[in-house]
Amino acid sequence: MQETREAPVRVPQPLVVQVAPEGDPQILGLPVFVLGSMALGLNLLDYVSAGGSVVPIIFAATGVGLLIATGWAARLGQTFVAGVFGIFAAFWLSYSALLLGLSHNWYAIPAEDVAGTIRLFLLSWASLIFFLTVASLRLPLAYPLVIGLVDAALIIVFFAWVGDAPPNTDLLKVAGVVVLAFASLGMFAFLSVASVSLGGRGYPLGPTLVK
Amino acid sequence: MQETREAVPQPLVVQAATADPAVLGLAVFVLGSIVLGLNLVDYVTPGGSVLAIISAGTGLFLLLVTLWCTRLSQTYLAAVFGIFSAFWLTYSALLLGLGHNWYGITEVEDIVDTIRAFLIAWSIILFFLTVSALRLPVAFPILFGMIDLAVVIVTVAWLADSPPNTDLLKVGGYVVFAFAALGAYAFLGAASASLGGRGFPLGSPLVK
Repeated sequence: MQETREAPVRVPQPLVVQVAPEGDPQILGLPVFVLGSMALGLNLLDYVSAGGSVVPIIFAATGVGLLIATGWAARLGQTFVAGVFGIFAAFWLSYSALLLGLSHNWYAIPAEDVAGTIRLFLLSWASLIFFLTVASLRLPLAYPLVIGLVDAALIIVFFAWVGDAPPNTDLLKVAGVVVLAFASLGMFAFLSVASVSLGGRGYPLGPTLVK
Repeated sequence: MQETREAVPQPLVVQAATADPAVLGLAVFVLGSIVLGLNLVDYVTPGGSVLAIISAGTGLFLLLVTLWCTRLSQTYLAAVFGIFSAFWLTYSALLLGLGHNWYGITEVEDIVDTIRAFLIAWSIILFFLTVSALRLPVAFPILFGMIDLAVVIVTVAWLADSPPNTDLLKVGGYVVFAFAALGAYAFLGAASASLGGRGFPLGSPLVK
């Protein structure tokens, strides 16, 4: 009896498909970021002197809104977007905590160390935002530009607070203009995302600096 | 040429897209480390000056990152971020509690002993965390080991005769800057990978 040999079985590789719910968290994250930036810019430009005047917006709208946008981005599997929104949520919430804590003496900081505490806050955030700017160079130019301008504003405000309080108001106003500049750029990006979400075209956000 | 035959059609595996919590977790960890390092090198003297960042920034956001990891079933990452979240939140609670006498500790020597107990307890848990991390790429046990070293140095500074020894605190601050730099390197690597680039090399595990 003749033996028959069957051909070897080829087991095909599985086709892996990643799926995520649809939506773009930038539609929420960008406008609340712009809102907080406008409040801060107007404060730095001395439209209202008291730092606490920005707290309702930067805490209850920007900080909380960015926190929600972070969770949304995480759910969509958007690692870097979640990272950026999370970092800025931490910025606005910790800035709220600084303003509230200093005005109510929660942190038991003597009056002569208040300016140093503000410089410490600004220097720490400027350092982290510098790393975030470097990390964002793979994105379209508008994004590293926004993040870089945020860093520039922090550094200018830091130098305004060098020396004893009160801060140098001229430098604070320069920082206020920078803040309104990145707020405008953020609004441009928001309008682009909004247009896409409604079936229109996105706006040009520039080339990526690192491919 | 040998013939092959199809036994089964190509299987389709559908996976939910997942995001990497390490990008946000490393960033807020670096932030807290920078502010702590600046405080230890006496850029600003009062301990309370770090509270806005370490409570509302680092502690809170590491807690959220921990929950994010648990949702992704990333057991070890959730433990690491959870432990560091606990560190920053308990450090905040220590500073706030001592500053406002929440814990009924009024004598100076009792305050010093409370700080010593806090530091010794954290030195021990961070030592075991370092040992447990030896199966990770070498950058991580180095990172945890340096954090433990900084806590041990600050502990010794508080065990000095007239505590704290500010020179030792400054040494602790420089070690904090060193591990913040390592954390920033890991953050840049994770961010690069998340945007389609290459992750940065983190070394081989010491234990396989």
